[in-house]
Amino acid sequence: MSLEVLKPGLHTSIQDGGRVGFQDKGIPKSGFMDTQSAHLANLLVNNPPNTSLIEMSFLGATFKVHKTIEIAICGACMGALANNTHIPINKKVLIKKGTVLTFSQATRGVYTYLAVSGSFMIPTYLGSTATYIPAGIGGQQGKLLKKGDKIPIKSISIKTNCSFGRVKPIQAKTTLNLTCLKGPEYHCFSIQDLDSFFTNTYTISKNSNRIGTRLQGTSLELTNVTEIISSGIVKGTVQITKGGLPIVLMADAPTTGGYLRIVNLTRKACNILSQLPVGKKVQFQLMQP
Amino acid sequence: MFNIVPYGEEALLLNFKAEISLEVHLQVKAYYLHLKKLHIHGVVDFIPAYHSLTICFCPEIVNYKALKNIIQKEKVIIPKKNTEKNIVEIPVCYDVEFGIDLEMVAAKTKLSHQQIIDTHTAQPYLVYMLGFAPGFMYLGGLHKKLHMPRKETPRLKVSAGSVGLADQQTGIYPLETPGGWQIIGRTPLQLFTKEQPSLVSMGDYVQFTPISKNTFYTLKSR
Repeated sequence: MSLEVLKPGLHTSIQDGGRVGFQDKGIPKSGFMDTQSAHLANLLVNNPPNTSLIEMSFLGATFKVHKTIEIAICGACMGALANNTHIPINKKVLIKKGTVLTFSQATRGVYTYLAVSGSFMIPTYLGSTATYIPAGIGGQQGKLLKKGDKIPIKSISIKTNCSFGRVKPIQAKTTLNLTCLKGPEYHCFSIQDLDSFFTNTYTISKNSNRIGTRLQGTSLELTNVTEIISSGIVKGTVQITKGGLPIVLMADAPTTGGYLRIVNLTRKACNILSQLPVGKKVQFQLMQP
Repeated sequence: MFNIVPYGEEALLLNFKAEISLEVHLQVKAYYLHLKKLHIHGVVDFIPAYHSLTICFCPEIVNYKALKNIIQKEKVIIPKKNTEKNIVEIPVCYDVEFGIDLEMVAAKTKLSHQQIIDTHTAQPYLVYMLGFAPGFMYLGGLHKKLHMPRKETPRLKVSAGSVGLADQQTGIYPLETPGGWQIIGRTPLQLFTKEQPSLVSMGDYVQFTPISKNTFYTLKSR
């Protein structure tokens, strides 16, 4: 009565809506990188939006399904196959017991979400199943999924007719503007720096991960103030390091930090950014309140 | 005493006087404990820091304006003194094998390795806040001689247990994470375990004790 990992893929983990209520102890929220896609996957299989599911990054995993289940795949397109048959994303699909589910390299986007009806049975740590690798907490013993892992699935009755439950795919964005709000240290930057921050095009660096997205491009000049007394960090906070380049803090962001917080991405912009692969170009755009 | 500013779509920030002081620490602590006890519907997380308190909320349940109003109306009593005097001892090996920035710190401060160790272990430090990563404590009271700027670009990996300096702050990396602090030593203690998410609490004191490499490995293997 489980989903067995045959091949783990690049970075496959259990995530949920995040570990809330423990940031005062320095424990990051973690949870979905692309919240919108994860919610969508859960809703398609009639689960509450923050239910635990499997998050795959860039290179998908292969699973054997030991139980007839309904699934939904949302987020990046990883050319999912049920045995040798192509299965659509953004749609509820019935998968028969014994089927091998194969996900390959993401062709559009980065993060893919696999939700199952009835949900995975994962023990919670501090109220959440979200895997946070640096501290080894959540998910499967605090680790990425590996070959041989069997993730138990909570039993629910399956409706065989699953022709409904399809959503319109999220259009791949052609304009890569990241909408943001002024951050706590916005006013610490010179007019010239703010001007170049919003006109510069930044490239997503290969050193990006669940903690943060590092951006490359023209460095800001910066004034004499380059650091602050360490203060709170939330998902979407954009810090400017002393080198003058931005880092966008994401799901596994540390709870506090000491670099200047120039802007905060909107939740929607965080979802968009999470799906942009290395090398993609972005621009920041201030939302007028 | 503080101002309230929006902080993204899902948080707001209480900014107290921008300094690291016991006075401001006690204000932040009092507000954090008081507001947390209120269990305001829609408020999901608190991040108390040196001079600020980040409050995370669900914008579908409560908005910035409403929350700001609630906070402004609360009467919070600020204690004059830190009533907790719990001192936690932490052994640190200041060998160059672990203190990878020790040479650089020595050059910049014009202090010998021994002088750096003596200065760093001279007195207990107040735990101003927990944050950054599970088990990480921000300690105040660092001697002026050891004030060091952060690295221009943070290292992608800093080993667990590394003891570092950053401006007026000193602290220990509890886990292997990216980080921009100048590293001067390492403790063999595990600062974060599942059973004990934090060794100390906000308001406790920490005393560093220098140990040899041998003692480090003995303690580490326990």
